[in-house]
Amino acid sequence: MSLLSLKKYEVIVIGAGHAGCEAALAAARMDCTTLVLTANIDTIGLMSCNPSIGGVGKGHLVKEIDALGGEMGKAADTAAIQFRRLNTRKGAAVQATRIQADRQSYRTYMKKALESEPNIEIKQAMVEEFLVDGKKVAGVKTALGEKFFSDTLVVTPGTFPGGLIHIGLTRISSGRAGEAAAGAISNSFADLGFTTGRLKTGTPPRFDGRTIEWDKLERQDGDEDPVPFSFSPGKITTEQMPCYITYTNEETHRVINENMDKSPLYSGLIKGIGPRYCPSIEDKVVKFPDRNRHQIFLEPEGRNTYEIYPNGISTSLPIEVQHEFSRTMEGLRNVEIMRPGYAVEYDFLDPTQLGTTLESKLLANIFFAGQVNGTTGYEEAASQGLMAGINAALRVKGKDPFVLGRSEAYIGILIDDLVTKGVDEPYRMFTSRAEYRLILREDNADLRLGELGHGIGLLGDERMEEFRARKTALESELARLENEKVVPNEKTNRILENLGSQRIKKPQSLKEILRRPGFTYEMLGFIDSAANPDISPKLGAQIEMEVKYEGYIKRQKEEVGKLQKFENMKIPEKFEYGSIPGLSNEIVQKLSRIKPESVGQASRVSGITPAAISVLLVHIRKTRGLEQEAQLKSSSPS
Amino acid sequence: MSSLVPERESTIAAISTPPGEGGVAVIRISGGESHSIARKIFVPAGNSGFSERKLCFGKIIDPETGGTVDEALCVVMSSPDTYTGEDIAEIHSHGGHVVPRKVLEILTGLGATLAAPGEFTQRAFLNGKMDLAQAEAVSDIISAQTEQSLRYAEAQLEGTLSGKVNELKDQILDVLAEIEANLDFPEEDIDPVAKNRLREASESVEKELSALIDSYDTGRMFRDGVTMVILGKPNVGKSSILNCLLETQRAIVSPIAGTTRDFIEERINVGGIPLVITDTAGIRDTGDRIERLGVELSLKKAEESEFVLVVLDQSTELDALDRKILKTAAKKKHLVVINKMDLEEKLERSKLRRVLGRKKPVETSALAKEGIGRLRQAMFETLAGSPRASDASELVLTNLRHKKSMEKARDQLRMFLELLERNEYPEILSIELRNSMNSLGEITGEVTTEDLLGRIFSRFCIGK
Repeated sequence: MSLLSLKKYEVIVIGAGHAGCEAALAAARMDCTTLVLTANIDTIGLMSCNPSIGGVGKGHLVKEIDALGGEMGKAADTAAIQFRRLNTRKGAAVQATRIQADRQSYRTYMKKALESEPNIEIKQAMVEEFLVDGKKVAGVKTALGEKFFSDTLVVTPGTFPGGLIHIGLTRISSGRAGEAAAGAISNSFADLGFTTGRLKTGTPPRFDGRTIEWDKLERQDGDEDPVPFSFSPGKITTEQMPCYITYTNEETHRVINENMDKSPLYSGLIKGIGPRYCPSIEDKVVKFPDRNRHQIFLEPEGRNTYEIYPNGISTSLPIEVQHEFSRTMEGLRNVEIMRPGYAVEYDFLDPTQLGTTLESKLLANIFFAGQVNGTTGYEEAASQGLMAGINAALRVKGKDPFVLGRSEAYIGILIDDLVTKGVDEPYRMFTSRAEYRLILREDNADLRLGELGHGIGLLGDERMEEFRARKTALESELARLENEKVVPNEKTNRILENLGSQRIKKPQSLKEILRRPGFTYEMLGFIDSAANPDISPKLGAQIEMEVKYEGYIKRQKEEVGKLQKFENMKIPEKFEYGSIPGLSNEIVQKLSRIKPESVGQASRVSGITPAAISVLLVHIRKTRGLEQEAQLKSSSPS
Repeated sequence: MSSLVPERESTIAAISTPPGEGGVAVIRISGGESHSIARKIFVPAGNSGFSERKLCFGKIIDPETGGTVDEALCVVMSSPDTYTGEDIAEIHSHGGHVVPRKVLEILTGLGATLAAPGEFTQRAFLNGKMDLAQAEAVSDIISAQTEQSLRYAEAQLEGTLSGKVNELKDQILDVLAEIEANLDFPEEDIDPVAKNRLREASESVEKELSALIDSYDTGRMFRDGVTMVILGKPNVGKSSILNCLLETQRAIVSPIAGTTRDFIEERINVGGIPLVITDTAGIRDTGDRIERLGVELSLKKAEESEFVLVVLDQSTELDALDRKILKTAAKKKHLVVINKMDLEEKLERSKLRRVLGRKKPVETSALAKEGIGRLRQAMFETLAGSPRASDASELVLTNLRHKKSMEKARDQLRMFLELLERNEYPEILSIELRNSMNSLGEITGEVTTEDLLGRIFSRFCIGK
């Protein structure tokens, strides 16, 4: 046997999309020898659908990835051709970043990031089979019969397992237009005993920008003062590109309605469930018949291409119908389609078969991340990839797993929802999923997660120092605002009145004044004799929100504290729910299947009542008591 | 989510002695705030002060009015050597229906929450205060309660309460969905939040909640009953009226004033309201020491009861004593009876009207058993506030825990309305609405994020 075939990796990552890239980079940066296997090296970091990153909820995820030491934020900043802050007139908790990306430069950046990592090897191969050693995974076998061995495996195959593309009544076995599906891997899932289901997603046709009458359309520019995703300082100087807006109309809807019999969605060909928040144009027309128009964003695919992504008309109608309805819209009367829109059905793994580290509960050392777990979106995929990569590396190093709580990060909410509740449509992040929305903001992701990322060895010392410096500045300024008093005098009161605020009668702290409705940190400068000139406007805005949200944040933190006990109360892996009197059969079945890791997680399983939780608590305490007793007996001299 | 798991940090209170008549009632308070709450409601006599694990004599006061509620004993015990393992305070008050309930009401006002069934024991267990055998027993208790609460839940499901609560929750969910859709989908082509619409929808829910909360007094009355005192000068026929209401010869009646010296307690049913009636010694200026004691006790008894029936005599003039009696009764729900209608009229109606105002007295002749039906009807109307018993379909709250949850939900909704007026950030508005729904959820069950997302996607066409 040659020396080469004996080579064993610590982590193998299957797939190099958004989940795979973060997984590989995290594992490699945590000092694991890492092999990336992808069916096509040219599609590393490819944005398969819309050319944008972020949004409300999703932007929060990207910030968290960055704060932990992941790559997506930096990649997005580099590839961005337009920056937009969303919800700027609402509070900080729901403000979010979104960029339009140059598709080519995004994947170029990501591929280079992987290639630059000394611990990463990249090979083009289609994985067809998992190699198993007892109850553990041992490696993979490719379509060419090559075998690769590793301690751990991170599986991120996207929409490729069992991928089936629909355009009209035509069906093509494929994971993404022009690329072969991964059929064999689906069989391997089944061989290992995993339960799978079918989901569906779709993408719109792409237009030739030279055939669009731009001057007839509403233009939407990016922000004048772009704010990057990454917490690392760096001013964005790249020139931004605009998007444009057009609308469907009654004529568009007529064409779609008349051709509904050719839609695989409505002829029953598509069995998978699509996302409600990203419906196809067919769905929009059918489900909201009262609306006489739908908004369509025309987004550039990049700087060096004329291709345009029309956001909002995802469709699986036949290509000639796509042509016909596209041309009914303002500005698109002569539009040419470069690539057809399509729907894709794919296999996903029921994520309740995974633990909170994303490791499978059926087989040890194999982690799953991304669309295969039933999510949609680059950001959701990258978040899982990062966490799977981190936990694979921690497993290799024999260290404790790394799990984020629902009160710590949107990433925590994402994974907890997946593994506790499962999915019945492609899962996307929304801020309304968060119980503690005011705590989980984009602006404080570094404060929330920096130390954690640094602790596991992912976030470098230098970046950690930046984070700490920001934290110190924030805290000392908050303390100063609390202690610094403004005394009532004619001058101060005149300024306050000019600012549209009420006079003060007795000394008040700067903080109390800042808490007044409509009063900004900037306004504070007029009455603050000891104002710190080093506070940046960004930090000022953050301070302002900390003060304005203070009462609510305090209450939310108290709630978090109360519930934390239940999160800390672990349930033994082999816990026998069936032996507990007082639990209904239905509840026993549910808990036995989900195997919650803590009482807190158990309480979130759907259909679990407070009474069932009480019964559970009693028995966990009892089991623990018995164990302690047994330990005492065995350790006492006989 | 918070209502899914038992809260352990809160301070809980409950009446630990069995319900009903009894000499003494024990109200137990457990949790971090229990001692400080006890110090607010209980004032030790003299300079004795509280000392750990020692019963201490003093007064229960209502911190809001400063008034004395009862004389009682109180003991404080510190964590961890207590039943629950938390700080505990116990108040030993007089028993019966009124005082313990009043104490509990004050305690909740001071920040204690009502203990769920078995919660003291559950806390004891969670704090490791019990061994395995005891834990087994607790487990049995709790699982028994599960079955019972299941039955209870089923009964409620068939009934109107959960339907109503779900309906109100649903209306709040509509308001929330509108706010959340604008938060999570800022670039969608959906209408901006219309403040007026949100206000109107929430105000209508708030009104309904208030009406339900107000129905609790009636509801509780039908469930727990009402204490009532018959008050009047000697020999006006109080005992005769009692006997008429009872339809038996229970009290000794005689033409001699002052026949009844002690109290007679009886239970009757008036239109479904259980009444515990005390017939008191007649009130007159008297030299007889024992009787005078009885008179003072009568007035005190009237002040403690929830309903007072004042009996006047048709054959005597309205005098200072009658006025004193009427004044005492006026502090309570009360009804005036003019008895002895078979005798000559000496009671001047015009004078009486000046005292009673628009309140109409009932005329009876206990001797001839006349007007008793009218009296029953008038008693019912005074108590229930309406001439007929509400039919079963009309929703009445009977459970204090339901009432407390609804009060919480209403207050949170009011806070939402206040913040809405102040143009507070939508993500803050959302918190109050969610809190309000969760409070209602304590009655029927949870509202999940899925419910919310489902509402958003069914109402708005999302899909950039």
